[in-house]
Amino acid sequence: MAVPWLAGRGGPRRLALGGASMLGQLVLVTVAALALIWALVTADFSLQYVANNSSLRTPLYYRVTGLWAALEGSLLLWEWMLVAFAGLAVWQQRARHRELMPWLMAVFSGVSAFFLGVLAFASPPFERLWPVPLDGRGLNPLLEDVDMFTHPPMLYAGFVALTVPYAFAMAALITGRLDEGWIATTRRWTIGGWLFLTLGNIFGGWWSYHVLGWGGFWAWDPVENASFLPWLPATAFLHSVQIQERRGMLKVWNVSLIIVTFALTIFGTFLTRSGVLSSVHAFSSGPVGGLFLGFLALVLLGSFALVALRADRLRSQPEIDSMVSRESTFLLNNVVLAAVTFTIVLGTIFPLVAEAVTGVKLSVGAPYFSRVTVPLFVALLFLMGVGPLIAWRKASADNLRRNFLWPAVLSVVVAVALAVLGVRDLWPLLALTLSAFVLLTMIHDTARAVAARRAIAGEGVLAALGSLLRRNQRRYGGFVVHLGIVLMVLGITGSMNFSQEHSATVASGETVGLGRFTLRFEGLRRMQRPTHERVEADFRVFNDAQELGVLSPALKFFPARQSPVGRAVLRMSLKEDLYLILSGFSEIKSGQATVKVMVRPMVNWVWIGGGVLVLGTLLVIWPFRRAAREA
Amino acid sequence: MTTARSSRRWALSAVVALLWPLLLGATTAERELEVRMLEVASGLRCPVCQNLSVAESSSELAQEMRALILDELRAGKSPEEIRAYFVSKYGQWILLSPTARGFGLLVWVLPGLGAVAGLGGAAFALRRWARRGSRFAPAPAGAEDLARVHDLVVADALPARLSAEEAREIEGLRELEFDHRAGKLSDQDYGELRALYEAKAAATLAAAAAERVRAAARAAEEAEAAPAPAPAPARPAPRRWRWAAAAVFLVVFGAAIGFLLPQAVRVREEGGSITGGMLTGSEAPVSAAQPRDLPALLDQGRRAMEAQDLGRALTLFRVALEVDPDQVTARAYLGLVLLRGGHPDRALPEFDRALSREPSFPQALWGKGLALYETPGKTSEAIRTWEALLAQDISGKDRDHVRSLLAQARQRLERETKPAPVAPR
Amino acid sequence: MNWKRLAIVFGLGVPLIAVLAYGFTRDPREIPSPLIGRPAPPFTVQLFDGKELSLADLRGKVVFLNFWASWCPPCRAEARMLEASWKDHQGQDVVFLGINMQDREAAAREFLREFGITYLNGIDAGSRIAIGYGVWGLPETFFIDPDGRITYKHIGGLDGPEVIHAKLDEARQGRLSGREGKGDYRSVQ
Repeated sequence: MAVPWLAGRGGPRRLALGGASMLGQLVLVTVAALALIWALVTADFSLQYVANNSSLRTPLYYRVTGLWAALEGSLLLWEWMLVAFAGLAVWQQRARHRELMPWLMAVFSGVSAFFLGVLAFASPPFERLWPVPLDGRGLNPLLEDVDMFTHPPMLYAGFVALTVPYAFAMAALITGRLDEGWIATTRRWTIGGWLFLTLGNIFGGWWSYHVLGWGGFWAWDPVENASFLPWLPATAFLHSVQIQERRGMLKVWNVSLIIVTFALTIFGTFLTRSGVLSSVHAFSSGPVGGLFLGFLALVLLGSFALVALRADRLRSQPEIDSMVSRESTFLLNNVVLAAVTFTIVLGTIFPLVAEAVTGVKLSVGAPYFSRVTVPLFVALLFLMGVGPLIAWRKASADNLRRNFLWPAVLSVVVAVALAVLGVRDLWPLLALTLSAFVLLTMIHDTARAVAARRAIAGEGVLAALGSLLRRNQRRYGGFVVHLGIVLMVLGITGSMNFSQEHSATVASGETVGLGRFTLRFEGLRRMQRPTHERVEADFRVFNDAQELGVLSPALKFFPARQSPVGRAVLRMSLKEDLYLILSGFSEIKSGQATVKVMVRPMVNWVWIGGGVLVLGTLLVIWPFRRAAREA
Repeated sequence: MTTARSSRRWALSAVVALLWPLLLGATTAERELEVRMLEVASGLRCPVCQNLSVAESSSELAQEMRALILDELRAGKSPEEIRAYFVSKYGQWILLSPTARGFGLLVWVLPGLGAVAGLGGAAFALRRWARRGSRFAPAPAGAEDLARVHDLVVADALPARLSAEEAREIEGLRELEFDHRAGKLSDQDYGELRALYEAKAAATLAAAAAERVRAAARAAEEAEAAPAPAPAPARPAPRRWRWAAAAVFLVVFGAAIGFLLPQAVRVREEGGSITGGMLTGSEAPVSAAQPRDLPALLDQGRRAMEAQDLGRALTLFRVALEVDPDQVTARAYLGLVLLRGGHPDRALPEFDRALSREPSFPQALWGKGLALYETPGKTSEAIRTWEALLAQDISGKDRDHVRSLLAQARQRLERETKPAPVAPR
Repeated sequence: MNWKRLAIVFGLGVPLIAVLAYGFTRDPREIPSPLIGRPAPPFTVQLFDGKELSLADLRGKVVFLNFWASWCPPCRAEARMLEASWKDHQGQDVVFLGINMQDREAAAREFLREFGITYLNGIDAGSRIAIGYGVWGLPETFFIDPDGRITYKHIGGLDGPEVIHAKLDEARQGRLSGREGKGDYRSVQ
C-alpha cells in the first residue's frame, strides 16, 4: 500500500516529463485517497487509521469525513488537494509562462514530495493492525458534527490554494522573470485561497460556538491563531497587488507577502501537529512536528534568501502622484495588517521565547490579544472607510472635504446616539462608529458613482448600478466584502462587550433569570444514543411572560472517554443569542442541575457577515464577462 | 473579555413574579459580585484545560476556582490580591496576559514599536515616492499618439493585441475619468493628471508599436534563416551550478534541522509513560537470548513480577517475545505487567494477541477482564470475559477469586447507570 | 550587497526556527510550581474517620502529602506501592497523608478499601487545599520537612518506593530538590 507513494515520489523535474509526472502523482494519490475512504466506509479495521477513527456504529457521513479526522488522513487529503490544485494551475497556464513552467512544476513537486515523504515515512495512513480488532475506537466525539464536512476541508483548501501563488512567485524569482504577468494569473488563485481560508475560519468559529460549548467562537488559541495568521498577509497582498498592477511597484513587498502567507500555512500546521504549544483543540500530534519545522525553515530561509539575491532585479523606481491617494491608504492598510500578523505571531510564540530566555513559564492568551489587536483592527476599519473615497493617484483637500463631510457628520451623530444608548467604553464605541462610517462612505461613493454613470450614459438608477457592477466587478465586489466584514465587526463587538452570563444550581421547578430571559428548570432526562449516552436538562424559556419553548443542554457520555462532552444549546435571534451550558448535575433522582446561562448579543451577525463576504468574493471573481485581454 | 455590567433592573411581569417568587432571591448585589468574579476569572488560565480561562472553562477545577474567587471577593479581597494569590500558587503561568514587567514587557511593547516603525517607514517612503513622482515629466507626445489614446479610452472594449502595459495605461486613464466624474478629483487635479497620464500612455503606445514592428522584422529574418534552434535558456553554465548548489545546501539544511534539532533537544519520551521510565531505569541488560532460554526467561520474568520489579519483568517478557512472538505465556504476562503499570489500554491488545493464539488461556482471560474493567464503560465486556474464564478448568481458589471479581463488576455495572457529576473539559 | 541581505534573512530566520525547535524540549501542559522551598500552605482537612487534622499539628514530622481521586488511573496504579511504602516508614517521624479531591465520597471509600490503605486520608471539598498547593494534575505529591517547608514536588505517578524513601530522607534533613519530579503517567481532569 505504500507503493503509490514510493512510485509517486521521485517525480522528474523537467518540463516534458514534468507534466506526466504531475499527472501520475495526481492519479496515484487519488487512488490512495479513495482507497482510504473505501477502507473507512467498509470498516476495514485491519488498518490502524480506520480502527482508530471509526467504529461499526459510526454513521456513513462520519466514516467519509473520517478521512480528515486524524493526522495521517488529513495529510493525505492535503496532498490530494495539492496535486489536484497544482495540476489545475499548470494545466491552466500551459500556454502562457512557458519559461516559468519547469520551475513551477519543480516547486509543486518539491512541496508535494515533502508531504509524500511525511506520508510515506513519518505518518503512514495505511499502517496495518494485527490482530484485527472486531470494532474500531470510533470518531473523536468532538468531531461528531455536521461541520466536520465544511471547516477542515475548507481550511485545507485555503492553505493549499495559497501554494499556487507561492509556486508562481518562486518560479518567477528563480527565472528572474519578475514582470507582473504571473501576478495577474494567480490573482484568482489567491482570492480563491483567501475565500476558503475565510470560510474555514468562520466555520471553525461556528463549530466552536455550537459544539465545543464554552460559549464563544474565538479563543485566541494557538491553533486558531495558526489558521487565522495566513489570512492576514493574504488580505494585505490582495490590496497591495492593486498598486503593483497600476504602477509596477512594491514587487519585493508583494512577493514577500506571498512567501509569508505560504510559510504561515506551514507554521500553522507545525503548531497544530507538533505539540509545542498547548491548545484546546484535540489534535492528534505525531512525529511529524520536526519535519514540518524543517520544511518551514527551508521555505522561510530558502525563499527569502532568493528574494535577497534577486532584490536587484525586483527593484523598481516607485513613484506616486500624491501622498494623499488610494495608494497611500492601501500601503497603510498593509502596514497595519503586517503589525497584526507580527503581534499574533509574537503572542503565539512568546511563551516559548520567554521560557527559553528567562526560564519562567508564562501564558499569552485572549486578554492580551484582545487588548493589543483591537486598536489595530479599529485602525483597519478606519482605513476601510477612508480608502474607497480617496481617488487613485491624487486627492486634494477640497475633494476630501466634499467626500467626507456627510459620512463624517453622520458618523458623529451615530457615535453620540450610541453614547446616549449606553455604549461608553472607548473601543466598542469606536468600532461601532467606524462601522457606521464605513457603511456611509460606501453608500456615499456608490451614490456618486451612480450619479456619474447616469450623467454619462443616461441610465436609470438600477441600470446604472448594474452597469457599474459589470464594469467594475472588483471594486463593487470588494465593497460587498467590506460590508460583510463590517457586519462581522458588529457581531464581534456586540458579543465581546455586551455579553451577560450567570451560573446557578437549580432543582426542578426553580428558575434562573438573566437579562430579559427567565428559565424554568423542568428536570433531567437520560437517553441512549447510538454512539453515546446523554443526560439532558430541560429548561423552559420565558421572555418576560411570553413562553419561547424548551432548551435542553446536555452532557454526553462516550464509552471510551473518561469525561463527558458538553452539548450546549442556544436560541438564536438577530438581536441576541441565549446560550445554555449544562456544567453538571447531581444524581437523577434528586435532580439538581448546574447551568451556565449566557446572553450574547448580535453574534448572528458574524455568520451573516460571513455569508455577505462570500457573496462579495464571488462577485469579484465570477466571470461575468470575459475581458478581452484576460482571455 | 469584559462582560457588561448587568445594571438592568429585574423587569419581570407580575405573572412571572407570582409563579416563581424564588427569583427575587438573587439580588442585584449578588449579580454585581458575579460580574466582578468573572472579570477576575477571565484573566486566569484554567490549569486543567488547555487554553481556556477560568471563566470560560466548565471543568470542575475551574468551577471550584470561580467559587473561591467569589468567596474571596465577598471577604473583601481586591481583584489584584486574588490574582496575586493564584500567581503565588501556580506561577506567572496562570495569568492569561503577561504582566508588563521585566521580560514580559517586551510582548506589550514590541507590537506598538513595530506598528509605529512600520507607519513611520511607510510615511517616509510615501514622501520620497511622491517627491519623485512630482519630478517626473514625460516628454511631450505627438498629437497622433494622443488621438489614439483618446480613442482607446472611450472605446467599449480594449483590442486583444494590446500588451499588459498598454492596457494598464488605458485602464488608468479610464479610472481617472471615472473618479473625476464621481467627484473624487478636483477639476484642477484632473486636468493635470490627465495631461500627465495621456502623455505617458501615448509614449507607451508608441514604444510598444515600435517594438511590434521590430519583432515582426526579426521574425521574418528568422524565418529566412535556417530552422530555429531550440529556445534553450541562454544562461552560462556556472550560474546553474550555483543554483543547484544552493538547492542542495537548502535541502540538506532543512533536513538537518528537521531531523537533528528536535532529536538533539528532545527530552520527552514519546507517548510518555511509566513504563518508559522503567525501561530506561532497568538494570542488568539482558543479552541476546536463544529459544532454549525461554523457560528460564519466563520464570525470571514471573519472579521479577512477584518482586514488584515491573521494569525488569517487562524487559524479560519482551526479550522472550523477541525470541518467539507467538509465545502465549510471555504475551499474557506482558499484558499483566502493562496492566499492573496502569496501562489497561496497552495491555488489552497483548491479551487479545495471546487469546488469538490460544482462546482459552486463563491468565490472558483473567487479565483481559481486568483491563476491560479498568476501561470506563467496558464493565459488561469484562463480565463476559470472566464468565468465559469460569467455563475453563481452573483451581477452586482461582474460581472463587474470579467469582468475587464478577460480583464486584456486576455491582459497578449497576452503579454505572448513574454517572457522577463530573464536568467536561 | 546581496550577502548583507542574506545575512539579515538568516539572522532573523534562524533564531525563530531555533525558538520553535526549543519547544520540543518543553511540555506545554506542565505548570512549574513556585512552591518548592516555601512554607507549605496551612490547611485543616476532614479525615475519612470524621476527625479533623491540621497541617500545623504535624510540625516536627516529615509529611508525605498525596493528592488523589478514585477515578484517576495513575492514582490506582501507585496506590499499592504507596501503602507498602507507608508500612515501611511507619513508626518513624513520618506522616503519610492522602487528600482526596473532585470525587464522590462513596467511590473514595471504596478505593481506600480496595487497596487496603491504612495511612491518613481526608476529603478536600471544593478543592480549596488543592488550589492552595497549585495542583493541576493527579496524582500530585508534596514532601514537607519538619519545619513545614515544601522540599519536593512530584507530579504524576511515583515510580517506586526508592524515590519516596530518598525524598523522605532529604525532607528529614531539610534539603531542597532543585526541580520537581515527573512521572509520565498522570491524568489531568
